[in-house]
Amino acid sequence: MTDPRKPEQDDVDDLLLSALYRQGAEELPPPELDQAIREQARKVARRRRWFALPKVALAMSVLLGVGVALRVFDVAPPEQAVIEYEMPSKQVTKVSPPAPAPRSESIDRAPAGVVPVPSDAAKLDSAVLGSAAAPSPDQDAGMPASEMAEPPAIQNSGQARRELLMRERAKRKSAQPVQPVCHADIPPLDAAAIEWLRRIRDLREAGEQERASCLQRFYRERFSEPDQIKPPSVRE
Amino acid sequence: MKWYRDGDADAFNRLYARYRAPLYRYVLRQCAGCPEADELYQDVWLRVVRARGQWRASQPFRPWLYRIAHNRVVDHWRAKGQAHEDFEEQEAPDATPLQEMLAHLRDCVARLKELLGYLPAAQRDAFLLKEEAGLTLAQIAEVTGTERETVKSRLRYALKRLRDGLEGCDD
Repeated sequence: MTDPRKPEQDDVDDLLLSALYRQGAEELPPPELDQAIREQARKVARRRRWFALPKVALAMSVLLGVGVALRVFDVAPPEQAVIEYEMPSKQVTKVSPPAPAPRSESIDRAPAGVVPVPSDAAKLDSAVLGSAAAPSPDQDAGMPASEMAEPPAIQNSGQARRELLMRERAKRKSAQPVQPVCHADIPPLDAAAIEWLRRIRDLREAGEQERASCLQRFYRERFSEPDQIKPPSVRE
Repeated sequence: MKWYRDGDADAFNRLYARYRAPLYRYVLRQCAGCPEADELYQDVWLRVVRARGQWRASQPFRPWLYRIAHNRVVDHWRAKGQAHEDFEEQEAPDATPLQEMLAHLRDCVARLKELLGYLPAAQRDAFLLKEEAGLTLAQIAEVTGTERETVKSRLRYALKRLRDGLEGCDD
């Protein structure tokens, strides 16, 4: 009753019992049960396939969002960088943080080792806040290094300074552009070159040199090759 | 199984066709003809479907499948308030009354099936894992979470009891 081919399982193998058992082992699951199990397995497999798609879409969206956000926040220079740029040269070198923003104006316009000239904004700043916010180089010369590193005025009124600067910038943007002296002399858009030249000549003859030069500047902007069409009488 | 795990629904049909009959009989005999046999069988397959992500290509599928089935059967017995191991301590029915009880059975096959139902659960489990699943002693030990020698012992006892009950069928 034992299987001689498997010596290690001699005492647990019984061929007669196995044969008897296999003879009677003919029960099968009902077809409806088979169908139900197969259907369930198919549903789960399908769900899994579609389940992966939103995950991929979500990952792509997050990636895109992060990229856009980084781009948006990277374009504007950090506040610290703006303050540094608007401060006089000695203060810039002492207050600047170890890791500057790559696109900040302070880097673009004031490379390492070069002392930046105070900008219009800095001048405006000093005009608005007085000498405490933007001290002159003469003042800096006599100031101890520790004080220059952390000017108390900047520390105390940093927020107010930024607000004032932003307000001034907005005011400048919204202000009307200054009209040129020859504004009234500029011919209409469809006027021929000869009309421009005639007016320039008339202004020169009338002794209005400033207006004539102004109009000539606009004429050169308007026409690419003015010398070719300039009549001999107005050619300089 | 790897294909099904990776989303190929048809792979499950091939897998199911191969294992449906032996697994069904394994559950049926473990349950000893209880009305929940179909439910248990279906539940085993659903567990396989749910746990497909846990299956590793390095491990053979058959022992993994029967481990799930074994655990499900043990859970069933526990839910019924009877520990799987309790049966091991049970005394096998006396051979003589058993023979009398089975005297009316027409053939030895039917008697064997009947005798299987009287076996302690752990012995029946080992016997079915060997006969139906075709697992080795080591694999049975792995599936049931026991030692190889324990499996061997259980099988020895199971065969002895079955032989005793099937006296007269060996000619």
